Order: sequence, then structure tokens, then C-alpha cells
Amino acid sequence: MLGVVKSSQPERGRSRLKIYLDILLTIDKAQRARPTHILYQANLSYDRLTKYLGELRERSLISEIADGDAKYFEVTKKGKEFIKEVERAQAFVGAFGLDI
Amino acid sequence: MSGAFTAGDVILNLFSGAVALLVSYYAYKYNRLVSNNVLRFIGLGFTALGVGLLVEAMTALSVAFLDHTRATGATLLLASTLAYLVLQILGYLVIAIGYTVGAFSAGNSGATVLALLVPNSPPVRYYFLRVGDNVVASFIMIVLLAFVVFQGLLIYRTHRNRLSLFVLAGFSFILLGYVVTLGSLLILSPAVYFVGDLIRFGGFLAMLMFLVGSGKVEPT
Repeated sequence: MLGVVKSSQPERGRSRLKIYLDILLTIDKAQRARPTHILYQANLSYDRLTKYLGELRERSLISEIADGDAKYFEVTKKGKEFIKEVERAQAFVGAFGLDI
Repeated sequence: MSGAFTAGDVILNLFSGAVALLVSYYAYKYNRLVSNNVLRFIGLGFTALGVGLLVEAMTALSVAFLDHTRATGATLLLASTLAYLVLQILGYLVIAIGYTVGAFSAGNSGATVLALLVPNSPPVRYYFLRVGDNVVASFIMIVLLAFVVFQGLLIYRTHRNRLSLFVLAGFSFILLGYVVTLGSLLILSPAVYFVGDLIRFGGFLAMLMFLVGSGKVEPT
């Protein structure tokens, strides 16, 4: 198991786990994503995005890359495994009428 | 029941028990990630069901090898039969409660279902038990499974995906299997009993397909 993320307390309708997944998928799809891109795609405020990006970095699910003045994020190998695990969990619980 | 039926029974129950334990393993595993009460119920229910099916397989084996004319053999048969019946009823009951919690999120629905579905235990004597099964237990499991299938149908109608269809098909076949088993107990037919086991086995095959399917998720 790739770390426990408690998702029982939804924040504004989306669980923390779902928000993590949305951010990770956004970054993974773009391969390298800038914060503004993630902000729009994951539909988060700047404060919340900063908070979640910090948490994902702490869990080593994403890494930050500086390219001159620009700042990018990439999904790490652990992050890619986490995405797969959460998607499997989503499929499993979905069959019982639940969402992550 | 003839030797061939007993051997078939043992194999089917071992496989079904293994699949049930596998479902419970994944329910517990994903519960660590998702943290949901329904998953806890499903994990617990399938654990009880899996252990119950394995005990049933061991009981069928003991029927073949133990001397039940002796007191020890008869007591062992009685104890294992009661154990697997209670475990399986408990398993379906917990799954049914989990489904109710998931579908309606009502605070006391589990207690209500429990109060409605579990009658006072009838006096049990071991001669009432036929090859590890009895009419009362089968009837209770049919009622519980009918409830589970109904919930599964509601979930499938809402989500309409392949995996929820596998779960619905799994529970439906298990329900049908118990209906046939109940029929076999009423007409005292080992062949029909075995057909019931085969249908129930089909249900666990559908559960296995669900597990395989949930492990092969297409990238989003």
C-alpha cells in the first residue's frame, strides 16, 4: 500500500483522495505542469492548491523542477503507482455503489 | 450424498471460499486508502463467508472420512455444520447491512435489518442437519441474498458499469444456488443439491471476474 490517505471527510464535495487524484492526473497528463495549469484543471483555489501540492511533495508523489524562473511539477514513480492504486480502488468501490 | 458429489462439493466450496477471502482482502486493502464503513462491512462479510465456505468444505470431507456413528465424529460434524451455517448467515447479513448503509446512509438501518431478518434460533438437533445444511439456514440466506441482490440491482441501475454488473451477477447466482439447494433439501435429492452448489460456484466465478476486472483499470 502506498500510504494511507483518509478520505472520509470530504472538502467542498470532493474527498482529499479525489483531489489528490485530480492533481496527479493533471500533472501526469501534461508530463510537466505549471501551478497555474494545475489550478485550472483541478479546479482549486491558489491557497488550497499550494496546500495539496505541499502534501503531495511530502509524500514524494510529485517533484518540483525549477527551469529558470519557471516552476514545474512532475509525477514521481511512486506517484504513478499511487494513481494506479487509487484508480483500482475507485473501480472496486464503484462496483458497490461508492466513490473514493 | 455419493462420493462423487462430496468430492465436487469440497472443490466448489474451497474455490468459492478462496474467492470470498480474496474479495475481503481487497475490501480491507482499499479501505485503508478510501476509509469507508461500507468497505469495512463488505470486508467483514466476505471474511465470514469465506471462512464459512472453507469450514463447509472441511465438513464435507469429514462426512467422507469420520465415523459418525461414534460420539466424537457426530459431535464434530454437528459443531462444524453449525459453525459454517452461522458464519455464512453472518457473512450475508453483514454484506446486506453494508449495502443498506451504502445505499441509504441511514443511521440505524443495520439494526433494523438485523431485527427484521434474524428470527429466534430454533432448537437444533444434529439429526435435523442434512449433509451440513438445513432448511431454516437456507431460507435465511435466501432472504438476506434477495435483499443484497435488490441493492445490487439499484446500484447497477445507477452506475451501469461492467464491474457492478459482475457483482450483481455474482450475488444473483449465489441466491439462485441457495434456492436450488433449498429445493434439494425439500425433495431430498443429492443431485439437485450439487446443481445448487454449481450455480453458487458460478456466482463466485462472477466475483472473481469482478476482482480481475477491477485490477485492470484503463488509464483515465
